[in-house]
Amino acid sequence: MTEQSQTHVLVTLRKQRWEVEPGKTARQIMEDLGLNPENYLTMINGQLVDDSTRLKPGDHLKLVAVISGGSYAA
Amino acid sequence: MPRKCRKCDRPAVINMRQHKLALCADHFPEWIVNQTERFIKKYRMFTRDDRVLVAVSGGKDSLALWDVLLQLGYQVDGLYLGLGIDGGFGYSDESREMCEAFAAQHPETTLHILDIPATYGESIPEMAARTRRGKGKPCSVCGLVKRHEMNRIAHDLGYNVLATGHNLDDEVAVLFQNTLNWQVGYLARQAPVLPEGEGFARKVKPFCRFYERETATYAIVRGIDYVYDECPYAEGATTIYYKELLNKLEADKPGAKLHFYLAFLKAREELFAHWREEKVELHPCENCGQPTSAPGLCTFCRLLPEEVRPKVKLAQPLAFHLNAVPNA
Ligand code: SF4
Ligand SMILES: [Zn+2]
Ligand SMILES: [Zn+2]
Repeated sequence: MTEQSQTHVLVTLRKQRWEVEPGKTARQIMEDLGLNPENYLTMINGQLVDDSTRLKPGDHLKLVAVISGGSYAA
Repeated sequence: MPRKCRKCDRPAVINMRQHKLALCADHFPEWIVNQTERFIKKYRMFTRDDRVLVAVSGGKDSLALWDVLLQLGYQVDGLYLGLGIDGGFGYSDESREMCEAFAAQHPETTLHILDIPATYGESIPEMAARTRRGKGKPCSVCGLVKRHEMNRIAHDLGYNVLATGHNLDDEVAVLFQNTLNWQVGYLARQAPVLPEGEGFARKVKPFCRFYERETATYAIVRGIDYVYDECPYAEGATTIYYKELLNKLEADKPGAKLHFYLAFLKAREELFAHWREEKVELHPCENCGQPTSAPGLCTFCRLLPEEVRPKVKLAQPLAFHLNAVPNA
């Protein structure tokens, strides 16, 4: 990862990245980005957290996609 | 302040809105293990006398299931089928490595590996291209090969139960699809347990009541490394489309998915209490002996070139732990 802003929150999802304002919960951030919170787990600075956790400046919010596809027969 | 665990004061790693239950990194895996035991008993899946084979793909669900069943003290081993799928990032190699790494950390269990290209001379995508079954997507050939080989290996190695890691999201996606199309026969057969039939192992889904986010959380909290990338052919699959659709509903109405599934299981008992499968006469396949509806070769053996067919009877999976080969 490139250097991280100390005033914003870095949000990553696979190869995508965003910088957002701090002070919101992980759930609100996902909703603002147009993502459905049901589809992701949230890690803040490497720790798995429940998505009501609020983000502080300099935090890294990593979104982990949980939906897997493939055939039902798998 | 982050939400706290219901059972202690530590921060929750997950909030399960459908159960109004938030749990921490210690209490959540404990809850998963206890609930799994409850479902195994409730749906009469198996007991500690049964020999259970878990189909492992290297993904979160199947490895988490193997882990939970080991913790519960069941007689359980893993089966990995190497499909020969690359997708530009070595999907099959990576998924096999995940299964081997898990097995290496659990010397009490055995990982059986059957490599399809090494055994039958062709990868799944190659078989699909040759037979043109499935038109561009190898999933139908893949499903057919997996069903046949899992059943064969369970039988050959003396496992009477085949367990898969299907979670509630998998189940409701299929249920939704079958309901949209009113596939009555499929609906009648969709259940946490499919009883053993002539020549077929019992099939069970001990995770059928867990949301996908719960099995993923379990894997992460337990430090289980799993393949995060999908099989390249899964992209654009209708299952994913339906899962996203149902998650939109879930976001607005927490518990909608769970309710859909549990209400279905209840309705199913009434609706299909007198349901009789159309009696199809089964014949043993001329080549492999597995039951098949038409006399002659089964669909799997028909898929193979003639000179490869004799290999079906001889193919043995490799055991990862050589000291623990069952029936050896
Ligand atoms: S997505 Fe298709 S090809 Fe890939 S493992 Fe599943 S069924 Fe097989
Ligand atoms: Zn706790
Ligand atoms: Zn056959």
